[in-house]
Amino acid sequence: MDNIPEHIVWEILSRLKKTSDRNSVSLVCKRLYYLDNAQRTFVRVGCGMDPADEALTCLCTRFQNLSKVEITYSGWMSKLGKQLDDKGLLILANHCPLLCDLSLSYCTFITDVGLRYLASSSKLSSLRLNFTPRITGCGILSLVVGCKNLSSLHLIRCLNVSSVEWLEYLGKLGRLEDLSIKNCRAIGEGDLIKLGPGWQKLTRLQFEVDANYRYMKVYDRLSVDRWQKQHVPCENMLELSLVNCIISPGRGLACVLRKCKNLQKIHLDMCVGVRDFDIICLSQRSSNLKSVSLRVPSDFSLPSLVNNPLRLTDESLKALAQNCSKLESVRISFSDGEFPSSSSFTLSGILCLIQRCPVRQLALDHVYSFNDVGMEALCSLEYLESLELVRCQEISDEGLQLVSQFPRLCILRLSKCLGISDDGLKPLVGSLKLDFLAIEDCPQISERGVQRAAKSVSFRQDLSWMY
Amino acid sequence: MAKESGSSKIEMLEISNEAMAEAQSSKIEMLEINNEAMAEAQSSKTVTMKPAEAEESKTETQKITDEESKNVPIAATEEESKKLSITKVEESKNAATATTEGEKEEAKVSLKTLDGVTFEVEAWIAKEMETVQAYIDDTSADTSAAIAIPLHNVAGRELARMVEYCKEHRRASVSAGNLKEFEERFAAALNLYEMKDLIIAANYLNTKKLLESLSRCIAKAIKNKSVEFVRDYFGVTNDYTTEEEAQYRETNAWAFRNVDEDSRN
Repeated sequence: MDNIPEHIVWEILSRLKKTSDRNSVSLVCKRLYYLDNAQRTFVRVGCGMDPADEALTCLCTRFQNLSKVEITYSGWMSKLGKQLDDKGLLILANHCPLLCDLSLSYCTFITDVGLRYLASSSKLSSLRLNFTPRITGCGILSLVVGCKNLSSLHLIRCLNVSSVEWLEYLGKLGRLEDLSIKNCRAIGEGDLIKLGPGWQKLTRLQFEVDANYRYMKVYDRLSVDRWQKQHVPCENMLELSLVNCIISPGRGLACVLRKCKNLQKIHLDMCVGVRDFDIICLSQRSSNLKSVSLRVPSDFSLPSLVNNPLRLTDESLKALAQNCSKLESVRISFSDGEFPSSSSFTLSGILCLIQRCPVRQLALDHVYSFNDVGMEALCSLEYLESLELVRCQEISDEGLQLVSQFPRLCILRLSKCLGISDDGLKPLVGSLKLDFLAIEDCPQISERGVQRAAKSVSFRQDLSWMY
Repeated sequence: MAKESGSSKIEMLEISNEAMAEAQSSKIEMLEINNEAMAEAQSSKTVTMKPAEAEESKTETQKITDEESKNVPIAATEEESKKLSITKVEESKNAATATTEGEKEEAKVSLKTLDGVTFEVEAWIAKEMETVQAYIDDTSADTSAAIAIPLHNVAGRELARMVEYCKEHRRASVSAGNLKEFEERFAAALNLYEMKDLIIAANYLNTKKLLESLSRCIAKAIKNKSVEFVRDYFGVTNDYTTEEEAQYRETNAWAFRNVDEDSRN
């Protein structure tokens, strides 16, 4: 190998992605050791690093070009040695000048002091905190004040982050492009107003409220009223995902929905209060929409609305069909409430949408209005490649047998479907029409019945969901 | 044995030629000496590399085909025919192919390798070799047409493989599936030493597609392999002390094993 030029060996090594392969190669000889050290930009550490500070120092000294570090203590137990604490972040700040992507998961010994050490990492552009219970809003504020290049921030189950001055600061800085806040109990919909002018730069927002704590939070009318007077310039938003949120009519997040102009992907999951008007406005302004995912809450999920249900109707689907000519991915789901929801989307509404738009992926979950007539209509969809049916109990064998006539279908997933048996799959057996078929928890379909129904078949049957 | 038979044939022909044209005997003798030297060299080469014999014969055929495309003296051509009379049919097939290719692509480039073999390749193949193309761009049209470009660091065997790769790659690139299949077949035909020699030649001539393809193949060969395997594969000796290796193994254990970079929690 001595006569192979350095840059060719570099090229060969750069094609090794797995850590175990890199580890093997670095032990071959010193030449490869130094090449690997220079090339390694990512490292993931956690349990098994003992003593933690020494090990981290050693790794940072060896891999001098580290730009991405992930520290995860998932599954940690005290017998595995002490966890990395604030001193570890000081080591990172001192030894990794190129650090731009940091992820901390289940780091229960890292506090605001650690984040303060990171404030000197001027190249940090992405931070992800997953269950770091000792970190508060003050720690995040000190970090965002120091790391002025931060463009991506993900907070997941940061239970003690309550103040949102950091959000206000990021909003004024105007560099944040990707914001994700999931299951942080103390952060509510109204807090997002703090972003202010920061909405302008934001391209991706994921906001998920912990469903178990939603009703305990006092509804902050003051902040909601403030929404109404504020300008929310979110024209650059491309991807929006809201889970378990309360969308007050004409206020708060409803303003966001209506202001988006370039949205490509939207996911509304158990969002109480979304109205047809919101979806109609959204479809009119965001005609580039490619992916729509709607999970409609049950009528019983919020008792106060029982007398005046705010439900989405076919008007929303018709508006999407009329305005969004690039829509490729559609997912419609109804919640698994105590009682099945009276479907707000009818069969004709769904068909209007999928027949007008070039839909390639269609997923229906608990949609009782979709039946064999709907399956017959799918025979004429020239773009449909992937179909997923979950708990669609009105579809029978007769409807499923039509799958062999779908022009371009190559992926089919069936889950918890009561009305389909092996007979429904018979036309597919041996035809090799499908590339992939997945059958999950369908009581009337046997493993033998799915043999040779597709080039690749996945079968699972766990019927505990029925009892 | 085949070669011996060929040699006998040549001797018989020499005798009859001697009877017919005594005046040319000295010229014939000189040619004989050269041919014998070449035959001996090739013979010894063949003996020492038996496993690659098929590849060698393929390479020789390629060389001869390329040589015949060039206007060589009639006498030399006849000598070549005599030596390889057994493969006459193959020769004519390749000659026909060369003629056809010649008709398609009028512009040709002469390349002379380290071991003295001259190749006539189409201009588009020369363009793939950026080093060759740069040389052509630096010289005037007249001189480049007349003189064979010297390649001091590239042997004939490697150049033949590179030319073959370029041709097959163009043919196979009609579909991605065919292309991948071709690359795998091409790499599977090479042993480790041939792969390394070829990648060095491709590097010298800056043939980017071939470089990428070979890098991919080598990287694939060492995936999921042990340290010892990679040492053997690259032919390197372990220059670690026992203490150093133990220390580095411990450090490696801290960076998670068998975890892909893309995998997330």
